[in-house]
Amino acid sequence: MKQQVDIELIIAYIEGSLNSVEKADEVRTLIESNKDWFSAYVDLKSSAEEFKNTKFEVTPDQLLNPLKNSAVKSTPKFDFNWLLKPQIGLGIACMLIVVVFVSLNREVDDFELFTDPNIKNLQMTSDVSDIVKLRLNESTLKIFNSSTDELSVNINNNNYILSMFDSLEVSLEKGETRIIVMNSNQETIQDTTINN
Amino acid sequence: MFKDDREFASLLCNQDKHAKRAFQEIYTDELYFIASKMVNVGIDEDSWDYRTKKGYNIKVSDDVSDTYLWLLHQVELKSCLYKGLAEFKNYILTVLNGSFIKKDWLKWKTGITGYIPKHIQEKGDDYIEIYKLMRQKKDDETIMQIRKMEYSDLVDYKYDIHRSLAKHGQLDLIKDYTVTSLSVTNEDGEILYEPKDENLSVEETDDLSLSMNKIDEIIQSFSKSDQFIAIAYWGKNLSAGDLFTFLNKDTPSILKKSNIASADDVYKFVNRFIDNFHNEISSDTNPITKKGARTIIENYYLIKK
Repeated sequence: MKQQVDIELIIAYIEGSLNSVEKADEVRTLIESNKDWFSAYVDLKSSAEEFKNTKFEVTPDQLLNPLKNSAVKSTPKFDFNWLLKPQIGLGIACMLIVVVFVSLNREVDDFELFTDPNIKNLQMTSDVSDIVKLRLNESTLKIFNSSTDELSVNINNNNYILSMFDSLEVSLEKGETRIIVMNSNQETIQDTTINN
Repeated sequence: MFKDDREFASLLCNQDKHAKRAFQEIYTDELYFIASKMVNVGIDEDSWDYRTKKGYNIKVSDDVSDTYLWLLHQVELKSCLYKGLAEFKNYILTVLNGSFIKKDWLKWKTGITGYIPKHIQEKGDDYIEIYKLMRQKKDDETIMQIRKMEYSDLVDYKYDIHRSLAKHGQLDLIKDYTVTSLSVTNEDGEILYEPKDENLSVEETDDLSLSMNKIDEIIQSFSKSDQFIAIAYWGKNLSAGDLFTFLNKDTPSILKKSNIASADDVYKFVNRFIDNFHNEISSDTNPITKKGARTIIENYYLIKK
């Protein structure tokens, strides 16, 4: 007896959702032996494959099965993406540069050279008084280069190189210490004697 | 809201408003895709663009919009038949996109609008008018009289219309006529026209007289697996690759019986099938080349589609 084509059964066979191997075998036998079933199978398979290979919107789960309503995805109250904008980035970079300079200057300002009562006989050979800063803390002398030039420092005939914005700490012996600072042109910019 | 697929289908069947709205929310893209495919058949016309959720455009004409609504109605009908064997999504979309529903669509389109297929419209006014007269079942004499044309011209027009309808799977639109591979006959089997078909490479056209029954008889003599593969290849227009992939997964024994172990073997099968058919059909009285045999097979499955 000719069995009427069951479209849904063929679709279930194609998607592999038949609940038993026997049922799947039965459908396959019908497709392989009956021209109408085979013809329907090819149509349905082509149709199903076309949909499978066409990219449609992925159906949200809550629409597919509203019973399992997932929590509504909350949007963050603060969006950090604006920080990635170039204008903002440039502004932040400028602010950082300012902060660095301010902090450096603050460090330089810590050298209250001219008010230190332990430093005596200070002789400045340069008008640029803010190139070198000295600070004496008990027997430790700290020298800071606040210029962009590389300085040579001679302390009691010992030579030191002081790069730009660099500092140097030297322990002083009791007695008189002479400090001579020269710039990269070998010009003496400071010649100081300290009595410790 | 919906417990499972069966309840969703049941509500759709009962025209539940919430279920219908939910279906449209989920499957609008797919419905427009099917509607657009049914109507346009690759032909441009006045339309507006529907942008899918995924971001590509579908051309929506009035015909597509009407068809979209018709498909929604079909969703209600087909949902009533759902038994819960397959996933509802696969069931409904595969059915709506399948060729079964196309005939229903043609009937509906013809019934309410005096539908003229786009591929006929594109051919020009003469074709449209002759097609309409054929739809009205006017005989050739009447058509010739109304259109003031020679019989030979009418035959050419009719032949083109038949070929175009057959190519687009719409021969049902002119039910009173059947088309054999080489001739047009009416319901009584009377040959109305034996077309000149250069592709057939028929040496002596005048002597050619083939009936559908003869072609049927030859093809029925082939093995069942060969017949099935021919249906898939010529009748359903599957590519060799798709044919092999589909059948290899779901019905491998058909391929095995026809000695097909790869997509390339499908081409070997095609040549073998044509050779066998050619051997049977060609004779001294009906000398047909292999190229002609191939065209006959192609047309046979086009009509049988």
